[in-house]
Amino acid sequence: MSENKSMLVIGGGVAGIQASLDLAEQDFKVYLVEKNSSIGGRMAQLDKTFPTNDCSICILAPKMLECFGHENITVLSYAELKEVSGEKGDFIVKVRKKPRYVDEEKCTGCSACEDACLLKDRFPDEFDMGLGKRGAAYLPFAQAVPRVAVIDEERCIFITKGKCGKAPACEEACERDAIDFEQKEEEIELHVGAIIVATGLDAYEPYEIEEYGYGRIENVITGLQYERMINAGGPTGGHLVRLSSDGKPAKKLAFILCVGSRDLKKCPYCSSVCCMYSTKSGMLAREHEEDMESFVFYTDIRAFGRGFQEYIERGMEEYGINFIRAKPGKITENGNKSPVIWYEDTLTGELKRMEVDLVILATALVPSKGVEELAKALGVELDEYGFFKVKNPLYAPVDTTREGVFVCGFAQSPKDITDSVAQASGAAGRAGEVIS
Amino acid sequence: MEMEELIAETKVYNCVECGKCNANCPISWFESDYSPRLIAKRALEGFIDVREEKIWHCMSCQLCSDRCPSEVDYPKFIWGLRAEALKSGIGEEAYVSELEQLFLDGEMDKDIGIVREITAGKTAVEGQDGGIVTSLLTAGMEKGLFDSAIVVHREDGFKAKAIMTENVEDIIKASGSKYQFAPTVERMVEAIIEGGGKRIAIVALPCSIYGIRRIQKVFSDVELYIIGLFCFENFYYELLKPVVSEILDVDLGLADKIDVKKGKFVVYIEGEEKSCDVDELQGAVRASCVFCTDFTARLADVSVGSVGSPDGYSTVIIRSKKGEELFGLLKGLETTSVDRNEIAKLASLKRKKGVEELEKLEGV
Repeated sequence: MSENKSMLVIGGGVAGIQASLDLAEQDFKVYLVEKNSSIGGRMAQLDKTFPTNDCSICILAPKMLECFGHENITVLSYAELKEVSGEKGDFIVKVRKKPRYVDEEKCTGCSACEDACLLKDRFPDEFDMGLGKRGAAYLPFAQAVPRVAVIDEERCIFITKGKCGKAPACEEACERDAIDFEQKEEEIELHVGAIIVATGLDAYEPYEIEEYGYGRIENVITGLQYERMINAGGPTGGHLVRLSSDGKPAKKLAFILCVGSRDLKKCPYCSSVCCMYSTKSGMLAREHEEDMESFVFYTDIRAFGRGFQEYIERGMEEYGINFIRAKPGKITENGNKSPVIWYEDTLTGELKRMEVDLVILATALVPSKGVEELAKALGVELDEYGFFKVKNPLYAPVDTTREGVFVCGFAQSPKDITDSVAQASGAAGRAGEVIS
Repeated sequence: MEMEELIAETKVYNCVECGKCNANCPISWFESDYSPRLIAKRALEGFIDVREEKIWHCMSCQLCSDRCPSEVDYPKFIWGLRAEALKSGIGEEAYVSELEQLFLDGEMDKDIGIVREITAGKTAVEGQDGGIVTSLLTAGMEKGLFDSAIVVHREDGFKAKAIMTENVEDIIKASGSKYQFAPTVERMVEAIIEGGGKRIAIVALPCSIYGIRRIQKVFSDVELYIIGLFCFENFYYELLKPVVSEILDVDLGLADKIDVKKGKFVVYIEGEEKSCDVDELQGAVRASCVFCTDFTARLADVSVGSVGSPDGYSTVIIRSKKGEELFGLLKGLETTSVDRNEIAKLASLKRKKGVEELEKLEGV
């Protein structure tokens, strides 16, 4: 067995954080590589979690801080895995750390650079799923860990054009002298005994499903956009509003399930969380305003987890959410810029239309962008949809096709937070066995 | 073909009964007893009687299958049921004749349908051939015969997109053939149901016009001027583009004009003319086209095409009083004689091919 007691975890979402903490608590030295400038992943974007409706970031933020502050964990943010050689017990890993142009040691996350940036509020904010705006210098989000600003090298005019006023405004504004345009890409070599992949998910962008009008009809958004919209820290301060220029409050909501998922032409699998989170979204809307109306358009309700069926029933009975068995045919936009849903109520066979303020598409959830390159670098196989293959789903459910490389969370298959965390602990346990 | 075989081949067993097909079906919105979903369901349950089913309501627009998440090939399924119905002596002809009698008025020609007048014409407007379709629409609009027109624009290069418009600039922009199906019928259904348009001109392919007439038959509260286009077959843009790029080494998206003439598919691009045999593009042909038997848009008020006319002229078949009214508005029209035989030849060839394909499904 190897003497190397170091571990590599790829992906700093809730699964990666859990795996890192479990390993660190067992005295392994952990390197946590996160491609974004902050850890937290998708869970950090969510407003509440089902089936308890707890505040998502309130649960996650302490974990993020614990992880970052843990003496056995080194968080390498804004970094990506490049190359892997060696074998189980002694992998040699090369990690590319992108320049953030801000000194991580000096920056306090005061956001003075963000406020000063000449391009403030010019670009769609990734964390807010494009609903909010950010500048070229910005903090990824309020609870970011590390709480360090980043400068977008594709957008910053000082980096792209070599000129920003007399002197870069961010540099002028920073009292800690933390802005560093000289930063270069770094390559870090690590020696680790085992590797855990926890790269999570992206949301499919349903432009190809033209009949639903995403990208064309302003008041048609995705489930993740809704999470940001209903979040008090989000771009609308937690208010549900129409995105058309009238900007009126949104009072009537339609949630459409299985948009791109369970679709043989797109993602044939079930994304596993949409029935639940769409019900949750309807509940939250009602909690925000008494007169909110929600309609969930479903093909089947898949409430398979503990307490899930009861949750759906509570949604109907206590929150007045209307469930309609229909996959809408299409969505048009009327003269008031309201989406109109054309559907067949399949329980009665009647064709109907419904005008709403906002349509929220529960789009297919897909493996994170870049998994193909990652899998190649790791020398492991993906399944036909891009999820990491496991050696055996029954008795080796976290072992990838390469010895010493494990997987957990959505990267392995669609699953909710509870299951992702459980699998992360499982992966940490298996990784530990490699060395102990 | 046995029912089980048809179900397997058209993947009807994939159906999850989500209702997306039915909600997209232009006919279902007007004929409450028609539902692609329920026909599929009855077939799966083994309770289907093709003589009772409303299988002749379908116009093969394919909106159901194009948007089906379960890859059910509804048009082929319906054509399969039709092939079955043919054995009991129920065929398409009776349904087409019924609509012809309802909406058209002229002499019957066995190959090209009902004709009041037939001519070759051109106007000063630049179009695919003689600019007739564009001229008919602008003239009708200016005269106030209709308030809006449903036409097909190009987007993202040469991809067809059906739009409804009230202005002449949009009509002019729509000139030129796309050789693709665009759901102009869907725009019409939306206009009718949303209550926006009641006096509409629509340019459509023969298949759609069958559906449009079916709708008009049950929903009379709409004033329509239907301009039909001759159509031998058309293509899926997503499939056509790569094939054209491979065979002709041109980006269809950048083409100025495309044309199908005398068995050739011609692309006009950057002052050049590149062509190949249409047969080489068979892989990109829209699925339903193979069963279609209508070349000249038999149910239109006016049908327009190039076959039968000299270069630069369009063939015009006027089939109804409305068509005559519209055609009468054209200014600066130059006419010449039409070769009716050439049209009849192609029309009967298409019919023969369609019938043969259907017989293949029948397995007799």
